[in-house]
Amino acid sequence: MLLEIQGVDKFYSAQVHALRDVSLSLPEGSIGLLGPNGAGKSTLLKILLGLLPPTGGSVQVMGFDATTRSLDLRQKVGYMPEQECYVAGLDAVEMCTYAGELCGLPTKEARERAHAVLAFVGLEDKRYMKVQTYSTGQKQRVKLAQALVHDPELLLLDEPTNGLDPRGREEMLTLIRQLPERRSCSIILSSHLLPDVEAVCDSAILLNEGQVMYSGLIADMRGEERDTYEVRVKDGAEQLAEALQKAGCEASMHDGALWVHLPPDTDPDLIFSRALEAEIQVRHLSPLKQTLESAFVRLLEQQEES
Amino acid sequence: MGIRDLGYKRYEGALLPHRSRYRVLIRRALSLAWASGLTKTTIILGMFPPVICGVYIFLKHQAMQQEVVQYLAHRAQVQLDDPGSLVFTCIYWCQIWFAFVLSLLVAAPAISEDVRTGAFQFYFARPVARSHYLVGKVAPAAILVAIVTLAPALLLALLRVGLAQSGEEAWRSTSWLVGTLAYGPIYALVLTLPAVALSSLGRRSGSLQGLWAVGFFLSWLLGEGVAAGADLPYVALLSIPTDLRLVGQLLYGIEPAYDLPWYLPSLVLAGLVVGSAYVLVRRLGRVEVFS
Repeated sequence: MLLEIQGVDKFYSAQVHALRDVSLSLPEGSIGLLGPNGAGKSTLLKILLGLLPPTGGSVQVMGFDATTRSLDLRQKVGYMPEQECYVAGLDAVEMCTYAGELCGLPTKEARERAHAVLAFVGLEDKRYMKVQTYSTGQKQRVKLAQALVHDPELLLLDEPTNGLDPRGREEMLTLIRQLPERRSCSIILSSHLLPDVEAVCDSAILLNEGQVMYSGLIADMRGEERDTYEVRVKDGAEQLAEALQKAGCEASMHDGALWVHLPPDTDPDLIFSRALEAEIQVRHLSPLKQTLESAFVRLLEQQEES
Repeated sequence: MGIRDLGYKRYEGALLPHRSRYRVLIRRALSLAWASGLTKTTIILGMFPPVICGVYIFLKHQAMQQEVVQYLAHRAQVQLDDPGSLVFTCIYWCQIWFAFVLSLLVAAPAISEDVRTGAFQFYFARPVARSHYLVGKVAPAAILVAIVTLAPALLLALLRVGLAQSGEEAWRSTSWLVGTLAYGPIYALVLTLPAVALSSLGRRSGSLQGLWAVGFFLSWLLGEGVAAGADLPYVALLSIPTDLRLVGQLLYGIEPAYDLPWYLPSLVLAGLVVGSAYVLVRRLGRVEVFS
């Protein structure tokens, strides 16, 4: 298991309860850490890195107890921070070499890997420039490079696309998406941008007000609305909707598509038969899938209701 | 963004133990400091007074009886028969300026620069303990200060021992060697630890450097000025350089500048060092690594 967290609480003070009885267990892979501001994402990241002891509970990351073996744990973890982060006066090669050395690599090995990892993130032409002179996008790449240089088994990425233009964002996501396969590492991606998480991760941890609302596969979280179908027709969508409503279905228009919710135990062939009767050509019919965003909102609403 | 792995292979070798972080941090800080032209110039200029002093000791030994040397010594009001005094004069009155400039350039911005650039996250997301970081910030500054204070003083003391013409003279010279060995580390710690502690209190390196300079010279000016003007020798203890001077005079066996109990300046300096260490440990213990 990559993460095994049992009953973790974190109080900053009597009033500030950052995490409440957090328990989860996730295997290796790409995991998204989602939640609104103040949900406890940063606190959980700090605890996973062993920088912050939990007030209660236990945290195991890759089999290491994050409280008692934090140095051993951090040797196997790479961290890409959200904020600007560089050592003044160093160029990209020196900074990545330094990062490798601090993780225990011998100097020669660290230097060789620094060159390789800078080529990997597309900075080989600018690797001898001082990091403070880099553009935002280049700084993001250096941050990724320094997190990767020592071959971490787990990579923690905190808002990796922050400040990037659309092209830079797409490039960064492409790079991150390939890491588990190319570098055999797991990823925990903390982001408030749901499309980023959707593009990169298989699993997600959803936090709200310090509590885990969901942890597991994104596909399961998004789920399929059982008995709800998205239907696209050539012409006459409203006419078909009317016909289906008369047959006991709920039907409504969403962005040019018809969402049809069938009564229990009803075969979806009903949609085809009603379309045939009305002489309407069906061009597309599929079970309706929620976006991560809609699943996220639904879970938030469910929590508020409960 | 091209994805080029350059024949990537996972590192399978052994990792260095956690204690190697001390060496890595100190070496990198020293190389960064040496890359600065100001630091380099200060160190090079700081070599001149001890060299002149060494040449003087050598010539004096070679031509002790020569009238011209006696005449020069008389004019310069230097006690030819007391090289310990000469070594102390060199290490204190000449080298304190270079040592102070180095503490200003290297120690005073040591931590504030990391706060400003977000480098805390760079360090503490790795297997770097707070003790590694602390030593990695204080030791390089102390080493640089020692290069312009302890190292030349040691060489001068060794020169004096080497030039001794009798066993008794060599034994007497050895006491200066011991004095230097004790004084050098005190000197380096007093000039670096408070400056590094100060640098942990903010993110504006320029302001903190200014504060360190003002604190150092104002305490010197006020302490010595009031002590001499109002004949209140205890006020001199407020001055860091004066405390250093009194401790140095004690270690070199020279008559102290102020008539004070011998242990008081040592206590003040010990308090300063312990207080600075406490501030550093407290600040680093509570540092917010992720804002």
